[in-house]
Amino acid sequence: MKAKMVNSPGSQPENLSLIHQTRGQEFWRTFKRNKLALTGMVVLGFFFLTALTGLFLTYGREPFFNPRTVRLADRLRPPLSRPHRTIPEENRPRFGIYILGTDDLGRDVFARMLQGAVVSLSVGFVAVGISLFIGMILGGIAGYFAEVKLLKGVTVDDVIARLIDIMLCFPVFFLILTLIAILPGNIWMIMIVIGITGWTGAARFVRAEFFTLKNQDFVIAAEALGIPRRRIIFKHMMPNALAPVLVAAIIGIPGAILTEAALSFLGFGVPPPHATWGNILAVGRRFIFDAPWIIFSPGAAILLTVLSFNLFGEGLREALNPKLRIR
Amino acid sequence: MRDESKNNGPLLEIKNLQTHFFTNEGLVKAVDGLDLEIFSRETSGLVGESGCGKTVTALSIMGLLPSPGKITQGSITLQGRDLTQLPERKLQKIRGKEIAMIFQEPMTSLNPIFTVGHQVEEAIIFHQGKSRKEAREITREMFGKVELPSPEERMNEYPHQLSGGMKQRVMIAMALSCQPKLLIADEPTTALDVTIQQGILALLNKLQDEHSLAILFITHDLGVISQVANRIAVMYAAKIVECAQAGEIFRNPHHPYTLGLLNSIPKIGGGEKRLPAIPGQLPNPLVPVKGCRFHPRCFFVKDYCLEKEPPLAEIAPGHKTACWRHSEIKAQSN
Amino acid sequence: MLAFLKRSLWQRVITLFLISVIAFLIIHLAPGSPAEICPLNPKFTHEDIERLREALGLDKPLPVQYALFYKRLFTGELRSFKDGQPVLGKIWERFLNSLPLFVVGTILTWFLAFPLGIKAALKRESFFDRATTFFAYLLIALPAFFLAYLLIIFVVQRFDVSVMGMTTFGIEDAPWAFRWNNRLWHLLLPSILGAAGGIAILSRFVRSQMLEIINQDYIRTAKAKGLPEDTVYYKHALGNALMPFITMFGLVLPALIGGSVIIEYIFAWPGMGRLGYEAIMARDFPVIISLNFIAALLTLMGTFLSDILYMLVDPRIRL
Repeated sequence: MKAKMVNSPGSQPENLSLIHQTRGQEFWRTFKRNKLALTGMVVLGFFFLTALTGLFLTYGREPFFNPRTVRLADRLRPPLSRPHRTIPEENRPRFGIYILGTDDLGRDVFARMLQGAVVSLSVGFVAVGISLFIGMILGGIAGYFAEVKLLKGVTVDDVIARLIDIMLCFPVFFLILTLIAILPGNIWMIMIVIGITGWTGAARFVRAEFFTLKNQDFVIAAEALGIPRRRIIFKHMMPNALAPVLVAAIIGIPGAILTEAALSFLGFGVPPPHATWGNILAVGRRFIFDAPWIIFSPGAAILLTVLSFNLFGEGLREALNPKLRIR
Repeated sequence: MRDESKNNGPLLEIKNLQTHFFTNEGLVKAVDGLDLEIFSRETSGLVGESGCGKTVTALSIMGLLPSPGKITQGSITLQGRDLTQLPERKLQKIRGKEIAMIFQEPMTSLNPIFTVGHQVEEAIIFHQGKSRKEAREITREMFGKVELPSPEERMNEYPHQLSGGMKQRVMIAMALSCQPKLLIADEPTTALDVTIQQGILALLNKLQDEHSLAILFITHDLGVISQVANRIAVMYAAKIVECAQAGEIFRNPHHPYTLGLLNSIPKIGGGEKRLPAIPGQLPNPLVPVKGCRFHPRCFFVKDYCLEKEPPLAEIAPGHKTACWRHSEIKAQSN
Repeated sequence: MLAFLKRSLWQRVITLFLISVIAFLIIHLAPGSPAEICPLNPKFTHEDIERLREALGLDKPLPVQYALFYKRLFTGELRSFKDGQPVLGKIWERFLNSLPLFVVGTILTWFLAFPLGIKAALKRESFFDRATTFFAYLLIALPAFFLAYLLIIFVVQRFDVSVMGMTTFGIEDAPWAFRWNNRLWHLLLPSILGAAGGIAILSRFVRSQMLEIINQDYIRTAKAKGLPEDTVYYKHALGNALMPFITMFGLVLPALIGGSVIIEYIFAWPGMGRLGYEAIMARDFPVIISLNFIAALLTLMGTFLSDILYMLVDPRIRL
């Protein structure tokens, strides 16, 4: 007798749509419900746009907002104040108003904030990109070739585990300071140094992931089929490890942004006169009682950016890993 | 003593139990109007596919529903007391003392940082107010009863030093240490090897006689249930669809689902015939099925099955089933 | 058990050796001879290089340089470029200054983070949970150097006390009660700041750890036994939830140096972090290398300690 499947009208189609949604849809459905993460994403989008437009508006000899114009008559003016009448026409701020006030040299804090946004975001992304690159390669090797012996019972995994141990032993921020102090100072060097001191997390992550993946049936099956190793690693295993690693990266970016800001604050960051949020704060610290707005703008900007990244990253992680939903 | 109630009615009576989970995706009726009676000194089997609500039923009785689960309706009466109405404090006095439970996963059900002896003693001290020394004495005795080899040594060992079967024996010792009236065994043998399964089942049968215990035995495995149960209730999609004496269920099933389950057990000498499976799968718990909840998978479905849900009705003394066409099924199954 | 200890110790000795080599080699990233000075790198002058060559024996082969450096460090002969003082003595003096900050900060962190995290986990989704979650996210995102100035503005304007340095200058003759009060005020802000981020991160960790444990089968078993809630949570759950923090406890020691640079810089606190900052500004390489090396040594000691603790606490390792 053949199975006679009867569809009761109205119930079955919904039923199907709930079961048969793709991973992407399911992911988005979960993510969307997390209002904080959604807010984080929107704020981040806003910051990206600001950073991009800021780059164009403050770039070149005659920028739309000039972060370099020094106006000694207009030192430490509060936000929303108008320029002094002695300021020549070409040096006046755009729209005739200092939106976020001026610093001790009479430079427009708003223009400097715009210029600094690019630095903060790009340092965050590039540094974490470097960390990820190193971490994924080392972690992948450690996880996949874990038991391969090198000499006298020392395995590949041992070597990389030791390398991670060594990195973890150094006081990271102090090590970064040391390296930046010795190496020629420019923005690329800062990204590289933050990157090469921060790869241990990604490495441990990928290692653990590969360790479990390696023993899963689809990888063993691929090996049994004689698929080349390189292809197994990059085509079959990496994509599976990618999602959690990307989330880790998103959560790592605010850390790198904070580190760059701290470096700039201590005077080791991007060399002047280029503005960064950190060095605007460093200038402002000398005038905290007379002109608190100078530290307030970059402080709040960093706070918001880091907060949004964290909320967004947490939301992503939760949506990717349904087990974490019961937070 | 409440001995009179033991003799007259059931030890535990569940009426129209509704346990709902208020999840983000929507309302899940994990148990949806369940009726069940458990009698002293008897083993009641609760059978059904994974996900049909067996474990939620057990946790409802224990009052241990994980959030966001809640009992929204119905009663669970243990010797005159409705457990759903008792405050948490009183429930604690009942848990472990009057109703005990053992779980599917002996590997993870014991706390890794305490010795197994300590974990058994703890309950004895709490429920019976015994001294540490007395509790230890009782524990040793219980370890002997559950046939753990060299009980004295075992007591000082940690869970990771024991095998799965040994851990389940410890769980049983823990559950029975306070002389409960009812033991809920939630798939106690599923995670164990077949040979060890048999040992545990034999042990449960033996202890039931010694302690005059009522057991609610939950499993998806009809083979296992046939060895232990006096009465069997078959559960499908949050509801009991058929219940009767064990022999009656096996010889005389009246619900198409029960029939399907029985037909999918391999029989010795059954030849190389392919075992018939029940087509389809459990309905999505988020989307209630209109009419009989089994109709999308039923061979006997008729138009009226889509309209109205059949009640659990007594069709013979002690035999209840929830199917509109139960009288015709008997004829077809033979 | 002894084998485990031996292995753990042996691994750390190897790690320490490699670290000592790396810490030493960092210096070779700097231009090696005056001729190599990159005109684009204004950080090095000819005198710097000369001093480096002489102090570290840069003409000799690498292994000799290495041996020479650590021999001098351990015999106390190694001297700072800046003032010619022995490096070890300098570091010790600053270490003692950092200690009160570190102790108060650590106590604040651990004694606040655990109750907060545990309560948030047990009352999941409650107002308390949401509030602590919100503040934790806020504190994690607030840069210490920004929060510091917000606090300074607040405290100075509200209470009219000075907060820079370890004490206010020129009060040596004041009565002891006044001096102690003064010291406490000076200690307060930097300790709170040092603890703030730690409390936020640690309490989140405690919360998620606790939540994970609460959902374990053995917690259900403990409840099924009819144990009272307090026993279930504080005995059965907490004991397991605390395990991973033994590792973290081993890692608080190195925070003495790395974590305190910014705060000691802001508050002009003459501790280890500020010593590091000053050394880097002055290219005082003996001090820089020593600090890196000592921090690594502290970490290794800390993790070794936590290994031993693990062995005492976790029956699965105690074999």
